[in-house]
Amino acid sequence: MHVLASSILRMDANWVDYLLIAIYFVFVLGIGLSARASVSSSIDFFLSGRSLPAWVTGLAFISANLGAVEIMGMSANGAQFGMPTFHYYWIGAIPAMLFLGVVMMPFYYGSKVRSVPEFMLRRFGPGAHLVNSISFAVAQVLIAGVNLYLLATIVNALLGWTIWISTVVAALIVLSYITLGGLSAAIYNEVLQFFVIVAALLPLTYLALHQIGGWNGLADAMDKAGTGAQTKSWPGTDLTAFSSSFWSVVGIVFGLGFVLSFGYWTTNFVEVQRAMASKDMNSARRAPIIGSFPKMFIPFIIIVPGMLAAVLVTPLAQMKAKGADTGQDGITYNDSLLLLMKQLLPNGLLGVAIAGLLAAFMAGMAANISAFNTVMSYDIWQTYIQKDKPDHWYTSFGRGATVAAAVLAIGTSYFASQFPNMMTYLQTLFGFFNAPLFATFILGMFWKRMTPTAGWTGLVAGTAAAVAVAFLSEDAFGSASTGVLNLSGQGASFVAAGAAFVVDIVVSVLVTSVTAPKEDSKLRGLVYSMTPKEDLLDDHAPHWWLSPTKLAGVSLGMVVILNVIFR
Amino acid sequence: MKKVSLFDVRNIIGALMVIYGVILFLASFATSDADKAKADGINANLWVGLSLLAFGALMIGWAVTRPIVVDQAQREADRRAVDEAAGRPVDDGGAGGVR
Repeated sequence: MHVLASSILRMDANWVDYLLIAIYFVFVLGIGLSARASVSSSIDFFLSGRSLPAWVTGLAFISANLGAVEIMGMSANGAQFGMPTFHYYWIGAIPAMLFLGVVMMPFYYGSKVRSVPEFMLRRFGPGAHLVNSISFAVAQVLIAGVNLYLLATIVNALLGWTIWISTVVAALIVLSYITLGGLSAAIYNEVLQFFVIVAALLPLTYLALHQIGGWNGLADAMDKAGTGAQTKSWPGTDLTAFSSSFWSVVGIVFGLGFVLSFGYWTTNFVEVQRAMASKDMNSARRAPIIGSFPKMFIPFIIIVPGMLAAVLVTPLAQMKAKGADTGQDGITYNDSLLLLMKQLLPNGLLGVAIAGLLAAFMAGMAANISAFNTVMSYDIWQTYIQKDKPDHWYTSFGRGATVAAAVLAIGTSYFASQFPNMMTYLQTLFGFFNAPLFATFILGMFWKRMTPTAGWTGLVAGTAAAVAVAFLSEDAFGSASTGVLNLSGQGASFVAAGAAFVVDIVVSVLVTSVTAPKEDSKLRGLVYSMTPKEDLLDDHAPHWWLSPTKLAGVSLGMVVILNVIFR
Repeated sequence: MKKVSLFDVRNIIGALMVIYGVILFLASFATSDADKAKADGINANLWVGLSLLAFGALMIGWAVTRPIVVDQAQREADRRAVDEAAGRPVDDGGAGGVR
């Protein structure tokens, strides 16, 4: 059991910090209330976004993802593995975001579905829809557990309550936040949260770098600590835990860069929905591409502070030198950012940082729980179990589902707390849920013969393959893993994702060859060859920055340059 | 009918950043020597406060000079199109639920 040492993490917050945090809450609730006044229904929420300019949806697109998981997980990863963590951005996010904007968005936006399960329903029918809805609901509860656990650690750090009380209180805060604020305000809150987080993390990084003597000072200090190799991003053998550099590169490029990241970014309901809220097709396509520019620089204020913490924070540095998972007073890599904040930030700035982190964690969990609620009430209950209830019946059912999800998340947060590095756990989950979905999606989108039966059997087989790899690995599933395969760390999740992808494709192709396809007329707008080509073109854009393809080219070029500089 | 949206995210960002900027700026005069020593001798509250103040003012200035215009008719048309395309009964916004 991982016990957090409240004494070592306790922030010495004073009234200025609490004032800044309180002001943030006033803003969040204020946005919720004004949004509620002007937005009356789910359809209104979805479309009110259609008046949003591309830079807002672009920022919302990445801040929907800039939650607890990313901030704490990536800084933990940075503290433990150093520069190879940048692959999660430069290899593991940017190419997939560009692909989403250039290739996938026309299908989403053009078909006007509101969710990814809804797309599955129209492309493959009920089988694939039900499988996808259930696996999505399960994934949301598990990920909500991660967010809740991280939220509890910061309440624990701030107030010194035990982790159990913090967890329950944090769950209650999120519940009231959803009910009071309403999720119709989600996008605005996310954009606001982005700026607060940058306002806190940018000075934190600057102060830490100033103290250690700049980038060269950091490199020298890491050399002295014997971790100098971590200032290079390739081949990243520490990250994958593969002994061979060659296989490590293959694992990062194929497992992380292709299957996991394309699976995550192109099929994730929460992300895709942000882009679909744009005002027209061109803005929808540009949203993820615009988001890719800040996305490539965010790691400098998330991963680099993690690396700095592993050098500047003495207990963390000692723990790393010993190669241990837990250090003095039970600290883990997950605590890196909190320890650095405590060590460097004066009262005032500390309040901004705590407000930003609380906001990110609540938004993350709120997004998981509301996504769960939507899928549970509409995609599962209304579609398959009780069809003909009046509308308000499903609304109250949804409320019940929200409470149930919060209770379940308390359970899954305990499970999440067993993992010393949150990122390893999360990547394992993404392998189970996103990798097979991506395989089915991409095959169904480009191969019009793919049958409805192949749709759901592929998903089931792919998930089963990833779960099997996680159980057979050394630690992808924590103590439940058996260790038959010699795989550990994030390399194991890359392999699990790869297995899910390959098995899904093979099963889908085999099943398609013996079952009947859908009629062509029903695939319009859902399959590449059946979609009007003008939806995919953008050559009437008057400027290069208004053309999704050209803008994506610029972004890709910049990422290649960053990879070369920090290789 | 077209109307200017008052509920502009740039105003909200700007307002929060200006308030944070003012508080940090004021707090910087009360920052203890121990706190300054933590931050390697830099009075971080002062510099971050001033930057946030400038950034917030910039956001509000942008929202004032280039306001967002919402086209109501277009919005209604969009809403009907989505309902039809998704095969849902066209209703008057009573769909409810949190989505």
